[in-house]
Amino acid sequence: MKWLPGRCRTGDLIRVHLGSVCHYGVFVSEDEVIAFGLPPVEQYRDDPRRLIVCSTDIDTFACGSIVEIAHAENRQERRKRRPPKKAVADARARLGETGYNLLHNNCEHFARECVFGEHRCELEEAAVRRWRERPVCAVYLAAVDDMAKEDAVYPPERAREIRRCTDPGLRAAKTADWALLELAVKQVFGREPESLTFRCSRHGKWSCEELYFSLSHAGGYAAAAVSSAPVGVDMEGVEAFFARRTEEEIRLMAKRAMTSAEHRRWGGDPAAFLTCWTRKEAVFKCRGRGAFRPAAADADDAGVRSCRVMAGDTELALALCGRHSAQARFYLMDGDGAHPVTPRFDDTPQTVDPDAAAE
Amino acid sequence: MKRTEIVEKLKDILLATDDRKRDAVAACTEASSLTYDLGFSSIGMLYMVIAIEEEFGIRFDGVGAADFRTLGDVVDYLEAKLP
Repeated sequence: MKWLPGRCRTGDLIRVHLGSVCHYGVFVSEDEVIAFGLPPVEQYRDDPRRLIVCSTDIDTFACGSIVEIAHAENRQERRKRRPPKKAVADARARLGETGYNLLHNNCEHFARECVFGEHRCELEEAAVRRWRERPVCAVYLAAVDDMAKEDAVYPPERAREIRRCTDPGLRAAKTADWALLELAVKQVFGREPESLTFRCSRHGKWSCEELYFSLSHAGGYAAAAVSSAPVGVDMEGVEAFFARRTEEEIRLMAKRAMTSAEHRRWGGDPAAFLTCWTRKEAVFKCRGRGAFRPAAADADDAGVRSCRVMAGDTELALALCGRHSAQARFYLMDGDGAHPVTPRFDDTPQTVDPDAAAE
Repeated sequence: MKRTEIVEKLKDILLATDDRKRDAVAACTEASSLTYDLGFSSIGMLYMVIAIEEEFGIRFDGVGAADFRTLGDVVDYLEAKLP
């Protein structure tokens, strides 16, 4: 369908641009344009004809804007075009009709149905398409102690797997990871865990048929990333990471984990190593298969972002890899629910006060 | 659902509508105009409505595009509609 300004003829599908939206109608004559509702402008906000099929003159319809006419672009569209008399008769027969819906039964649906015989709205279709293909990526963070409720884990195979952990700390962390995942899935995708199909690979990596996710835990916190594209998240508690390792150990780890090019650029800063490490793990979780080989994961992968987040008194180093990592939203859980946080990417960590965020 | 939660969820939706609006969304308030402050086109407007229907599990019945001038108008509608 091509829209061009021009001289309107009886039975034409016409439209005008009014601010952020278009208003559609069926042209009968200069004195009669039939549309579902009056033009969506302030002056008709309280008019009773605002949302019913009504007839106006062309000036009322156009509100001073340029009127465009729909032109069939191909044979298929030309075939659908109904005879002008029939289009006008149908439009007139529906005068007074109600049941307006901004999305599913609006002025475009009405006018197009009269003129082309199809209840369609191109904008609705484009918007639905765009929504379904939208990039989705979110990271949820929570204290392990707040989330480690074993009865919340689904599917049962994963619950059994977690229960087999003999280390109570690890069991709690894995339980929290999964509980956080389920919460993220509900909030971001609106899906109950029971409606999803989870699978475990022979390497022990869990995946979901309907969406992508990645989990991590460290420093008493759990992280769950969910996305509409493959995603990997890794997290380390900064204080705990350095408390467990001497500078010499970090130098040795860096030598082993970094490629020679990364090692040359490194400069010996332990914090930079931690960032590099989390980036590599996130890249591997997103793209890798089999066992993690740090030197094989590219810390400079275009899809990876690294940041610091303060969760209470705990500083977390976090890396996220995926096609939509740049659009990722971050949330921190507390007793009141999930609160958005803005991490500091590769920069000074930002203190997040959940109480302040809730206000 | 609390009004603040609705606003936060709407901000997520606005970002999903156009990620380039990150700064405008971060700075927006309930008084922000959907057209003039947040730069919504007709497709953007419909996209927002679809996203809201999907996210909040509601249908926009009995309202027209002119009913939503500001973010606060959308919040008012949702607050009245949601349990």
